[in-house]
Amino acid sequence: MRLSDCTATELLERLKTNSTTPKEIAQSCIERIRAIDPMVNAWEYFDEAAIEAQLAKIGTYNRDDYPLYGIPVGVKDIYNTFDMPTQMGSPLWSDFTPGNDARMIHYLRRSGAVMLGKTVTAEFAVHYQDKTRNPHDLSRSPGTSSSGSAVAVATGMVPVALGSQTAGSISRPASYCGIYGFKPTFGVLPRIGVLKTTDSLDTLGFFARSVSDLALMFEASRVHGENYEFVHQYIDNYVSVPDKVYRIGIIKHPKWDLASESAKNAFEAWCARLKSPCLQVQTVTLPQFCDTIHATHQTIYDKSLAYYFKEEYAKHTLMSPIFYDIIQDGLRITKEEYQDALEKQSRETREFDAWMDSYDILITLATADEAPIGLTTSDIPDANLIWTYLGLPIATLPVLKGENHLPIGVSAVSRKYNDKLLLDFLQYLALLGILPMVSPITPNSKSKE
Amino acid sequence: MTKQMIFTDTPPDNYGEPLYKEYLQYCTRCCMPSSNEGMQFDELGICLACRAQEQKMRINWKKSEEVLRETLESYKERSGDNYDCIIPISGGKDSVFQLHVLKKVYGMKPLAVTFNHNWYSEIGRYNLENALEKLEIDHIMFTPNKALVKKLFVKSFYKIGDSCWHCHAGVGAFPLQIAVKFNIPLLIWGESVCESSGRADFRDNVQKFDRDYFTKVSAKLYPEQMIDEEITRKDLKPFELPSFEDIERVGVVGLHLGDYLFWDDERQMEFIKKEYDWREEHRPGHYKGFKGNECKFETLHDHMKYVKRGFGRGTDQASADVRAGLLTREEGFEIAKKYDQQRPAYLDEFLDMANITEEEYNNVLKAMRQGKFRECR
Ligand SMILES: [Zn+2]
Ligand SMILES: [Zn+2]
Repeated sequence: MRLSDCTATELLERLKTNSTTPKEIAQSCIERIRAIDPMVNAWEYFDEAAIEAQLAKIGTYNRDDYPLYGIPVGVKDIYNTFDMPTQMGSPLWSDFTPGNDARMIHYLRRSGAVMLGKTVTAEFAVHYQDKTRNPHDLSRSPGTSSSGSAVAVATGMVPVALGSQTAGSISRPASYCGIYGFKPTFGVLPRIGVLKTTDSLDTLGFFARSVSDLALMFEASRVHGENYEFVHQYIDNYVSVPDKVYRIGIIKHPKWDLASESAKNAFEAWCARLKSPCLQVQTVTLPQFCDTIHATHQTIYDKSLAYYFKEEYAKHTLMSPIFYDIIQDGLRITKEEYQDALEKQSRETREFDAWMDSYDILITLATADEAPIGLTTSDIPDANLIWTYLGLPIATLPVLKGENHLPIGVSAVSRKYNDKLLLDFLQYLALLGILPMVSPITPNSKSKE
Repeated sequence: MTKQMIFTDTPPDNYGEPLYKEYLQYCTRCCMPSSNEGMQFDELGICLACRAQEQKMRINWKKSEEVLRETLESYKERSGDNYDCIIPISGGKDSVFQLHVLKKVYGMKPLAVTFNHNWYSEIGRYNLENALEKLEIDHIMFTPNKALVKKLFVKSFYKIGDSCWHCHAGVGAFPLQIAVKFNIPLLIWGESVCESSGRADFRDNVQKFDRDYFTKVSAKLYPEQMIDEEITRKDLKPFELPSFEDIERVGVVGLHLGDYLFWDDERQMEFIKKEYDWREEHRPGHYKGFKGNECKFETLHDHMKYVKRGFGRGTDQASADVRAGLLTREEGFEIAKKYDQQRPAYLDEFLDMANITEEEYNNVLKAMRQGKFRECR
């Protein structure tokens, strides 16, 4: 087994028993990137000198004090990094060097992790992306906007990678690439030093190939302590309940009818496996107001993009037509409409939270189907943006196969600030054998268009 | 089961709403109200401090750091056997970070200067002395006598609705006096004015030195305006700004590190805690344990602002968290309500000093409310 095939948790075990070193791990990932990346184009920037410098630095660390000691991380190219450019998927920002680390990058480095390079993002983390391919079928989209990170993890070029989600930018690539994705509760991972698209929606998160890696990344990258009142109260002070009975709601969301028959069948078959004295499963209907969330989300999203990218827009060049269209739509939205939409988001977040009092976990399909054919094809609408809009923690689980035997994910959603409960739930499913550890996939070059 | 709604005493209908919705306009993005001085909302109702946070993402900090390095080098060359710069410090988190950056990163020999408001808290004193000792920095501290400070404290409350005139004026004047007396032209502050004050943004923040900056933004009154039967001109000497001629002669300039380095104060705070054993303290009324710990009357100062302007420290700090994506705006308003409304520590001590009742205290401040907020009783 190659080192690059290991999960972060496995790598840490090996490091602990001195059977490998951070240098060997990085080397193995670099070799894997050399072999695989020409087929899938997951990396935007990759610089062995920057990796060397980091390895030299952690070489001086006492291994046991650093929870991610020697773990390579792929960084979506919207997080600022002091030692690499941050280009945000836009030729307008090519070679831009911010000269600082985003807070989350700092937290990860502080934990001993090694930033391996910058991964391809859709233009300004929105939608347009035309170079990264789905490793399960090179003619298909890997999902956007955290495309490169998802593909890098799925192919074993890196065990974990960072993403961000404003609608479905972590969940969708995780679903299409057959790996785990996790977007914690809004407010738990600091956004300082990360590209802004929408104030009330942008949330950070990551990809991995095992449940335990999600927990590892979550602890290393979140804020801690009394200076963060809610996080302190609900996450720092969270205590796992042994033999907890999870109240699970299987839901059919407002876009359910658009999902393919094969996806729905696979989902139902998987849900039937949720049998244990600790799993209390029932089918539930979402509150009525969820039906309009897609429309409200769009108002907030379009207006914010029009606002935050007005300078790029004014240049009238090097911008994709789809981004251009969104901004034009956004410009037509008035301040009052925008503020009303924000107010609605806030009210519905609160109402949903109260509704969630009866459930620990909601389960649904992560995407409507397998990855679409073509790199710039639009996705069939799904429920992802609902969870993002409501600020909820959401994990994508690589458990289904579609008609063409390609991956489809399941979404597991919990109440605000119940991130640890959600992770406990995933650990429990893993223990039951319902959640797999994902092996890296090697793309078949023959399937290239 | 954990609940999102932490403050059960907020009726559900008002959850996430600002306190004075009918009287004040609030930023579309953060929790800052229009009563914050110099507030400038843009076409989407977003405040300048919020805009400045996004500008930070489009600045090439690598280049601006080079400018800083060159500037510091040029002053080092000029200073000869004198100090290279003055660092005005209080002992707060920024002070220690400034000392660290200038001494350890840029190899400057700074003279640290402190105007002592004479209300140091125990932790504030520890942090100040500890930093000077660990970083081996020469230091000058000026302490006005307590009787005068008490008189000014009360007078300031009536005059500007903020008891801290002596602190604002002293912090503005004393480092300049030292610059002139010791012939050290370069003064270096920490956080950029653009960072959260809402008074400037990184685009129009032209680097020019303003002798009267502190008077304009915080002290409001010049020393001669504080003279009365009990407070003489002689008493107020330490609060006087040097003359323009003296400032010109020495060539006094000032810069803020935050205009050259990407400022992330919480990260910096974590750094100085680890590196220099700087300490934070979670006191009642403080949402963030690392802010405003030096002065024992800090929460009183903020409470006065709250009664007068409808927002206090909770709003300031929650707004910073909202900008950083660490809170939703609604959660920010809940935090603000919780902390802004708390009865401040040492209020009784102040009421004794001023010889007034709590009701009188509130009325004095309410009378200073501006605009539509005046209607709010
Ligand atoms: Zn604002
Ligand atoms: Zn004070």
